[in-house]
Amino acid sequence: MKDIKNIKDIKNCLKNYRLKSLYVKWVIVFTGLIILAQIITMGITFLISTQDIGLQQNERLLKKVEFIKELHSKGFEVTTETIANIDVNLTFLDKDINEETNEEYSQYKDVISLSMLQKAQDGDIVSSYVEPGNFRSPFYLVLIGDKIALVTPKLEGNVILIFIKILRTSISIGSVIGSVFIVLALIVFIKPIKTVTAATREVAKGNFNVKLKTNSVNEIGQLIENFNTMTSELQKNEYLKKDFVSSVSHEFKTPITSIEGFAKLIKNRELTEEQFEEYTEIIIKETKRLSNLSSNLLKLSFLDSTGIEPTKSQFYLDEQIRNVILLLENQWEEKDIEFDIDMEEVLFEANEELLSQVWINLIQNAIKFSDKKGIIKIKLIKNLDNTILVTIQDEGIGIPSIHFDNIFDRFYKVDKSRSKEGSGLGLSIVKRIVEISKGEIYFESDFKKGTVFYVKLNKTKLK
Amino acid sequence: MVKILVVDDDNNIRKLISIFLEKSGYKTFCAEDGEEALDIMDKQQFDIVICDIMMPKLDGYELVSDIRSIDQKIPILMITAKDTFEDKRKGFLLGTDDYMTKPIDLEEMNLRILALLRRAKISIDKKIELGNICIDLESRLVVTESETIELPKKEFELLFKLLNYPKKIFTRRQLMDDIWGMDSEADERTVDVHVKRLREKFDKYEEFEIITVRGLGYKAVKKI
Repeated sequence: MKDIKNIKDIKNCLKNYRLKSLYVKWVIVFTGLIILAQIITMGITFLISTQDIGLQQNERLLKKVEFIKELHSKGFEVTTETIANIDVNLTFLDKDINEETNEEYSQYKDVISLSMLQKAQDGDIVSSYVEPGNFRSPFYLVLIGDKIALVTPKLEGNVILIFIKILRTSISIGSVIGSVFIVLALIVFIKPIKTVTAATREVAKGNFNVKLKTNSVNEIGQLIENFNTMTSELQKNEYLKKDFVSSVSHEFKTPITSIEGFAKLIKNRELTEEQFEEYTEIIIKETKRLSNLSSNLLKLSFLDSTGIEPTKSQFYLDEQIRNVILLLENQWEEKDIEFDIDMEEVLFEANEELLSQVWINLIQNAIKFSDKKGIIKIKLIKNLDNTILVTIQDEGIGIPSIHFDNIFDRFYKVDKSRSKEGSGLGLSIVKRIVEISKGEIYFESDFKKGTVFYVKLNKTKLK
Repeated sequence: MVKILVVDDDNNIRKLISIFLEKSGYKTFCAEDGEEALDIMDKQQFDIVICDIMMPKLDGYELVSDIRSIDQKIPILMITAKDTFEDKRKGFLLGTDDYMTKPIDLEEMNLRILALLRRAKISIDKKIELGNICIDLESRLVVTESETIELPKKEFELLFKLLNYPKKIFTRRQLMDDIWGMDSEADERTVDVHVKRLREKFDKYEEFEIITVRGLGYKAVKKI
């Protein structure tokens, strides 16, 4: 490691060693948790049990001590060697005793108080008290003959220590076995995640033709299922996009071809008055068409791409529709069309610009497909369930039922000749905006009798 | 001769508008950007300014702002490709009088210019003249052959608004907001009542009529 000069360096160093693998991380975490659990268990068990074991040990030792005293009173000579079979250490505390010569004494000397010695001298059997968690075994002081003996259990017989040893061994083995199992389990666990990761990388490269197999119903299974749904949607969009691009290309090239062609024809002066009129008229019409197309395409692509919530404002919906009607005055005045307007006053919250585009397109269509002196009925009602219904009805040419499924499709034109200036995008735009606004749009139409469009919107709580 | 300044950075657009306006009888001057426009305006008086928004050096918004700081009255018509509500709102807030989005219909542009010029004249003359009726802005008097009528403030403002934009349909809410203000207690009934009163006073005159457009609002039409 390079010189670590300050905290920043240490942080950077640690960052470099940051665990990059989820797998390694999990192994360490789980193994660590097992060990921690084991240690805690050990601690708890130890604390609970040693008291018990200690007391038991104390009792057994006491019995042995009493036995030794009895032996002595019966004339048996009590020395360390003679009582070797009883599994105790006997240390006579005479004047020669000191720490260096006797190991046992050195261990216990600091807990043997003068009062204890005095009591033993008086003939009592003095015992220590066993503190829980104290690895030191209990001991007794007993008067044998004229000497005080320190009686302690033999180390090998120290139950507590045995207990600790057993505990340690089982914990270690347990941890190792547990860790091995974890390592194996995680390999299996990580596998599907690795598969999904590899698949995602493929998708990111642009290859949407990726499908994963799974049998499980759990979270990983769900992830894989959703992943598959995602790729199939992406694939679908790819097709739509390619389709769209080629449609757009065609829609642009056609009028451009006309304009260029007829302009070239005009350049050649040898034209009749009528031809001149006709060709210039075509050029004007086709440019209008192009203009419509480009502005509608822009609107549509804006609607498609926006992931951002459009900004909302409060306005009167009935007033908005009135303003749209006024905006289109030229168009309906030209055809001498009358409006039958029945609108409730509704304070609404939405994106003003987007919503007005809906009315513009629908009312424009109503005007376009109406005959001269037709009537267009516009209704706006507030429903009890807090929804709003806008109805736009015309008495125009209507839509033949074979087109019903397609009229909201992009570039779809029912009557190519009548919609000469149209882009075929008006209703697609309307549908998209209504979708974004979480509303509904549907229609009814009778061929040659007229069409009604219904737009249902939700009135959100106003602040 | 009415003088019009056309400001647009596109050569063809300038040419197109200029030729069309000259054919219609106006005298036109051209500028490529806002800066040039201000230079020319220093040396010449104009009756109307037509300008684009997206131009180098000084854009349309800045130009309108600068013009308004010197001249509150000169009519300005913005002709631009920027067509969102926000763009329009910004234009009107800065002081433009009218706003058209490209591609424009030149005939329509012409009509709007005429309307702008007419309103400018009214603003300068401080009166509207219709046949034998003269409506005086300062005194709020309507002088006819047979009588002189003094109108209360709101009635006068309503009449003036409708006649200043003849044939334009105004919704009740628009009239309410413009004349009584957004915060007032007035409602659509108030507008109706005032229209009724105006009709009572002026129905007998042939010069103009206030027409109810069912479901939409009111408009004033000149009959002469």
